Amino acid sequence: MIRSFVSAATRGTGILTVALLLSVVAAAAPATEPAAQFRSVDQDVQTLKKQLVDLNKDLFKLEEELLYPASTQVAVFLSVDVGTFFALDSVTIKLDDKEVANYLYTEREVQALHRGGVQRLFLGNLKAGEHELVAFFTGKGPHERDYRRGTTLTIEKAIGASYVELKISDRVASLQPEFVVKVWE
Amino acid sequence: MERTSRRPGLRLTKASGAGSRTIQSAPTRAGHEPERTGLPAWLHLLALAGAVLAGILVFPIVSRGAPATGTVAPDFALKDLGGANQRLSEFRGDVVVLTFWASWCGPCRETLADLQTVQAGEPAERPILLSVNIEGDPVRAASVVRSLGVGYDTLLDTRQAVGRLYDVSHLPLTLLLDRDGVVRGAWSRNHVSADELLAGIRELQRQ
Amino acid sequence: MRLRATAAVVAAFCAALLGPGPAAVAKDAPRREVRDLHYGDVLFHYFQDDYFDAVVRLEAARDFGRLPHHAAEAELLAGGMYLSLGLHTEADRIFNRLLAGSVEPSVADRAFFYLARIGYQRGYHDQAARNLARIQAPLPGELEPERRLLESNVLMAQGRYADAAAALRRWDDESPWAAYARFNLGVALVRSGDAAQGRMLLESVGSVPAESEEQRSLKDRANLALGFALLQERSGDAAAAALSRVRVDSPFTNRALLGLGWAETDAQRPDRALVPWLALRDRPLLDSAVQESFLAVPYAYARLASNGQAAQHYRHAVQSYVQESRRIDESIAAIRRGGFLDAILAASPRGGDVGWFWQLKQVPDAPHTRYLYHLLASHEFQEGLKNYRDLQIMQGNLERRQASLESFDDMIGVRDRATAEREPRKTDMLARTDVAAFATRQAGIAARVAAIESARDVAALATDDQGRQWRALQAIEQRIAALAPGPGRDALVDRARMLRGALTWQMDAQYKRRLQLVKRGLGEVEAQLGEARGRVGLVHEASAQAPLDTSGFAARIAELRSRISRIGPRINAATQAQESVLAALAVQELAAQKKRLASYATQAQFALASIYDGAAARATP
Repeated sequence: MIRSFVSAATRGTGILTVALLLSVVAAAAPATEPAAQFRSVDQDVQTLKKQLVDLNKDLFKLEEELLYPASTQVAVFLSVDVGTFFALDSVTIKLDDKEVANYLYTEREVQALHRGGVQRLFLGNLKAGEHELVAFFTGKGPHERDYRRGTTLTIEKAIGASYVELKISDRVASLQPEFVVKVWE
Repeated sequence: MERTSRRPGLRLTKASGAGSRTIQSAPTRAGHEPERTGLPAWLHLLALAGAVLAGILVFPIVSRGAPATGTVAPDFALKDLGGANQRLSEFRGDVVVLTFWASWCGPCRETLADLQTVQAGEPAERPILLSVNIEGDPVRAASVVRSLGVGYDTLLDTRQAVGRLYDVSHLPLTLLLDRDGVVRGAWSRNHVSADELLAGIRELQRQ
Repeated sequence: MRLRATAAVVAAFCAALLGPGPAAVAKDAPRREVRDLHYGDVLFHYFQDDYFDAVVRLEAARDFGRLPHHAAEAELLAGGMYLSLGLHTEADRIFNRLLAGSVEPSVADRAFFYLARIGYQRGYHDQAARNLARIQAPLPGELEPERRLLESNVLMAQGRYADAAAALRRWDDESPWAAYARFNLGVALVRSGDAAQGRMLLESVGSVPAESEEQRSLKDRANLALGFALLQERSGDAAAAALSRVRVDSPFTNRALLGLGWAETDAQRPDRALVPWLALRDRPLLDSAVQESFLAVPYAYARLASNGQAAQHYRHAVQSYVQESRRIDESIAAIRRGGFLDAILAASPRGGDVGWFWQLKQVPDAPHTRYLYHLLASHEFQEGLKNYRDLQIMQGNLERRQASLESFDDMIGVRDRATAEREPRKTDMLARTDVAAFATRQAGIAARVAAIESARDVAALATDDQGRQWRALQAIEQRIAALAPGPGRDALVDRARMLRGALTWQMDAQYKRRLQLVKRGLGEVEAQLGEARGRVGLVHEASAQAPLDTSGFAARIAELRSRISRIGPRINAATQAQESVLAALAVQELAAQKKRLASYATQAQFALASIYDGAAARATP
């Protein structure tokens, strides 16, 4: 290689090959020797990540069982099903006349709802018996029109978790966003 | 005459009538004496006032203080001056400076101005700056922001919910959060200089 | 072999592209039907790219049995999310398990696709091909073009270029995916000998108008690869044309300039070769193309018979190489000192989630990082860097989990203490409060008051004093009655009667009001009694309900605590291991660069010597 470069200085041939070869060396792939080491670290990292996911899962479960045992748990979910564009701004929930949730929605969250996500808006405990849930939402529809709608629901709490879904939907008669309430289980 | 015992809710003792034989003269000042609305003692059990049962113990409610360094800053969402909702946790991944202020607080304005210096710096190095106005008056907040030429977002804590969440008892309060939302620096009562903030920000951006 | 450089970079890029990339399930897919609320909750976080949060919720929901209607779909989603989080092994396991059961075709298709992708990344090309072959229908959204690209890459990896070309011809769109596929195939064909076909493909990619930065970058690559392929064929003019299409400020510009110079030299125009080479010479010496230009420029001068200029440039080259070599030494020392990866991360604008999408945007020109642009862009390095960053994030997560565990422990402790305190107090209170006895008494009083009311017994409601007076009066009247009749007695009787009248009048006047008070008071007592009864009832009820099994919770907390304590040190160990692996790679790369610089320097010296010899030879008569 050296000779050809030297001779090229006087003869001008073959330098092309050299030059390209040299430029090739620049970006050569790293040697494979540390590859095995790399793979073993990568495996370790994957295992640790899985362990961390499991740990987080167990903590998540523990927290829920500790603070909101199944016998008294009540969960309120929020979903959106609108045909025309509707930018949800906020949702407020009152249980037995006490405000338990007041959530402001960012653009990112609104998108997630529009794509079919369902938000677990409130998790709490209720004793057995009758309770009143009042919910209202605010938002902007097309043409910057403001909406504010509410709904009232009587919950008959028995022993066992209760799930309430508040769906903001415009598919009902009025073609304007309204609450549609569904109690699950 | 035996006095009736008035221990609440418990044993009743009737007033015993026997005793003195003195005739008390009929009240000659009938018109002047205030009408005695007293009742016989045996009826004083009625004064027993709801202290029958103590009630069920409740768990001690843990009160939040201002978030300590090393803890995750509590998440919240507020509307900004532009009308959009912003959530703190959506800024995870960036270094965040959070400052609480009110228009009547002089040092707060200094902090806001200093933050604007940071804001005006190079875009590649800029952290996320958020100011939280804890008064209920968006108009006043907007005018302060305009007069200081603030270019970063101002959030309106109209219900003072976030102020309470962060236990903001002294203004200004400035917090520096790392990329994971953990409080790494806190300055309370005094305004913090742009240099000090920048030093902290650069340190955190290295992570 | 000559194109190994470009091919290596290209392959790396494509692997990164296909690598654990974005979202498992196509996000452009139409809105899905959610039949389990908690599945919707998972989606809510998934759509916001909070994959870690989403996967934790998904696993928990599954454990709680809350996803009855979305079993297979959830499995697929989990697999995709694990893939996004960098857990290929787990994803692989999930997809295989999914396919082992009976699933509907659309779910199976996607599982096969992801398995194929994982297989390709790990180098199991045949397996990847087999999985791809089992896909029955076009995949939704963006997954379909991705599948085609994967297919073409797998075929190339297997050396089946003809099949790859055929598959490509069937792929009839202008999507960016198709462009990558054509580029990959073009490079592979040139490499394998079918240069003509290859060049044609590269030409097509290199001349399409590009809109996004990504497309422009691909176009540059294609033109660069084409240019060098043409240089190989000694088609200088065509090569120059291709290389001229490379942008002036892209990562490929330097090599394009170098190539342009060679194209001109090849076309016997060394003077024109000087133009790009001199431009290159002024750029930072970090780049190997620039380093080579330091030799190329004097070479051109020599070809133009300007040996004086040539010699001057060769001398300068030697000096520069030596200087640069020293800087490399500094870099190696800095890397060995540690903190190498933190310095790289400092330039990154976004810390990110435990995620795989975070890419290094800018490489800072610091002692740790100069010369390493190509290494840092390599797939292997990027993966390692992501692991390092993820490990740091995991450490933070672990610390926070530990803290919340402590607070759960406290919570349970408080509850236990409260229960313990409450028990004796409760028993004591219940003992002291004999509600029944109280009720009896109240009933008795109510009856008496009723009797008073019906008999209008004003005396009964008299005050103590009045009562005394009344009784005293009665006694006196009796005594008077016992007296002998006569005016004396009459006077006393009258007097007594007057007193009685006055007293009666008093009591009577106050009777109504007193009765009202009494009845109101009774009403209040009744209410309080009711309340008291209610409270006692509650306490009994609460005791009757199964008490919180705090012992069970305590055990779970202890178990979690021990897991945390075991994971912590392993994260630290892995972090250090990852850093040393990457540091070793970097040092190796730098050593290779040093070696090249040394060889350049040697060549320059030889060339210089040869010029002097030539000059000396001419000088001697």
